[in-house]
Amino acid sequence: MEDERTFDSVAAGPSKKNRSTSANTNALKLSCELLRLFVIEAIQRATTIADAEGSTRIEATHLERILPQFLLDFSGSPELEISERKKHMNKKFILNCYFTFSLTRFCG
Amino acid sequence: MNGSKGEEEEESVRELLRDRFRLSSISIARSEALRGGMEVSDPVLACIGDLSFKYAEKLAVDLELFARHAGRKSVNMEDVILSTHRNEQLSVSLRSISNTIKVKEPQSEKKRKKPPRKEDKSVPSTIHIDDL
Repeated sequence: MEDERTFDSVAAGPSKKNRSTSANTNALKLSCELLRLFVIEAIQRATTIADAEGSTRIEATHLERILPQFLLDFSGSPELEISERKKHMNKKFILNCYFTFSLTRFCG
Repeated sequence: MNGSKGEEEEESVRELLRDRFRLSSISIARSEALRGGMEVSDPVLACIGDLSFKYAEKLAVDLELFARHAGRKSVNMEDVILSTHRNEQLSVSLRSISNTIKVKEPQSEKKRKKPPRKEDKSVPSTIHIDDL
């Protein structure tokens, strides 16, 4: 993934106090693996839900169900677990997660 | 005026990277779904592409912070492992992946000490002669 190589220096752009930070080759490879894990984990969790429903196609509703816990696991505190009881709050919570996720992009 | 042109270029580079990144993550998502015998709907792919890009951006910010905190100008593997510290399973997985990556490193920098030792068992004296 050549895009990863330049990506790190572009993302560091906003805080250009000195020169942009670079990344060594192994760090890039490891970051690629981490991002790959992110995608794969999301798909695997959604597959489990779709499978349980007897569907052969991953739909938005399947992704929706796994999204809150998934986002917490990857970038929040995994000790936080979404209990089954609270799943009725799902949609609002998911929107919140998504929103927070995108907000931190601008503030972080 | 040069400043704004530079900004425009940067913006288009960023967009290009973002699109290529999303395409890559979409293809990863599709093949992983196929492995599980599933198809993926387009909105799901779009969402995953977007989410993974946002995650990558957050990751890049964190990595830069860690490297700078350590007084370095370059991010290394320990920084990447550190970024997952909130999730223990994830850091364990990453650490084992990092060991695999280290093992696969080209020999150009590091001389392996093991092969000479294996020869030691059979004919130690030969090695000595080589050293001379």
